[in-house]
Amino acid sequence: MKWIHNLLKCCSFSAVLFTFQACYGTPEDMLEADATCTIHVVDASGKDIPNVEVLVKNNASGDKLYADTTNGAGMAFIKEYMACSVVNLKFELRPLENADFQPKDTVIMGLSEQITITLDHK
Amino acid sequence: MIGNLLFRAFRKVETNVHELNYLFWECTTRCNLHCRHCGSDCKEASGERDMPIADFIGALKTIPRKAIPKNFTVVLTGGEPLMRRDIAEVGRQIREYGCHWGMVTNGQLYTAERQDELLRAGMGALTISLDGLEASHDWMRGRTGSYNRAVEAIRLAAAQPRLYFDVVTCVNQRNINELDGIYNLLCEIGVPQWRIFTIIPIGRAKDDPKLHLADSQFVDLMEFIKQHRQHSGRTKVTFSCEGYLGRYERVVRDAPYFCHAGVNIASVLIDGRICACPNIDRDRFSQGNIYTDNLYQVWNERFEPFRNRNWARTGICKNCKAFNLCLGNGMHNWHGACDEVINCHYRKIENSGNQ
Repeated sequence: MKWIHNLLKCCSFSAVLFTFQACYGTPEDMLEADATCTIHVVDASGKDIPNVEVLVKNNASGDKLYADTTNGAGMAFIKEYMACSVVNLKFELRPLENADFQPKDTVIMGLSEQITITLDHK
Repeated sequence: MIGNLLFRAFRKVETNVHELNYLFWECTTRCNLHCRHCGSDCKEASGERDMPIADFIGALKTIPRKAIPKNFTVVLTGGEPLMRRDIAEVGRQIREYGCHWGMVTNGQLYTAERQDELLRAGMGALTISLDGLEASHDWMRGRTGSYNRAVEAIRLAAAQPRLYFDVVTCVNQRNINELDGIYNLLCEIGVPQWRIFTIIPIGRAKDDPKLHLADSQFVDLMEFIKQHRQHSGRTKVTFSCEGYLGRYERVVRDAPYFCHAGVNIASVLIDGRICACPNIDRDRFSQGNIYTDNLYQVWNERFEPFRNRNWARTGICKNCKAFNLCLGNGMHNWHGACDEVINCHYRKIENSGNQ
């Protein structure tokens, strides 16, 4: 029975049948993009740096899209939200407690699953 | 005829496979409006406490990741979900588990800042209620100014390309003559889809005649939708999935009538009960409780009354020639003793056609 179900799903005839909204529910979210993107802020040896404030901006408009502080294990944000309206992103990084690192601006073209940004020592 | 046979075959396959791909969470029963048609009788200060995030996420995680289809959507509903301050945190956790999520809101607390927060948490679908032009909406929603706030929220959402977004309207005696005005407004704003409902006689709406359409008005509504689906306006008009429509099937919405409740749709209600759409009689049809049962196990092993609807062959449905297509109308039309369907759209249309 499952294979018939999957076959029907693949047919354009049935696409409309599989797309439904429950009574007083929302439309289904049909976006197929991956869920999250992870930023790693690392030092020259590749080790994650905690306590770096990361500000993500729309490079064209300068609008702030996201701000968070790294905890040393990578920082996840929702990829599709960024991808829907901007082509490239500007990251501004400002070390908080790790004052021996330089602040840094960098521009990312498009979004990958993993973004790694290296901070330099002062 | 062949189309109907194929559709019934599809429905049988879909019912037997019963893939869960749409999960409501009634995350609060608090609400900042006092709507005349509320089926849940929600209030600003509810007697029920909001369900903790961890309780819901724990239930969600009983569904193995490999069993989550790619467009599995969790829908936050209430009450008014935005009465909770932690919706973005809920959303992040849902998204991290590989599910999409959306929300049904009255728009009163939906600001640009809140939208930004929710989008960053992965919200991908949104529905906002608009129940008429200004005076009618405010009357229906029990608060002056609620229309203006709802329209502001609609403008915000319509401008956001990431969202699968629609506006829903419950048509009643008061707003049925405003449909053209609402349509023009939504086209001007750029709303992609307008979904139209009628009101089920349950909750506060049970004994209010102003909320229910006469049979001829219901047919007028079908004709309105039919005509406006032929327009090339920016806003697509569609009727909800609330019932079987006889000769208007495939005319006023894209897909044939199919109540997916319990077939593809489940819910976690405010007290932990497991059911299908939240407007279904929860005392009669709840299948378990997340505080005592495994949600996914309940989904797989129970829900029989939703998947086999022969029990609905009673009352006016018993000898109805449309039963094989209708299966007793939407599950939310069965309450209490379930010896009679409380609302038959097909009969409304047939009655009007015979006048």
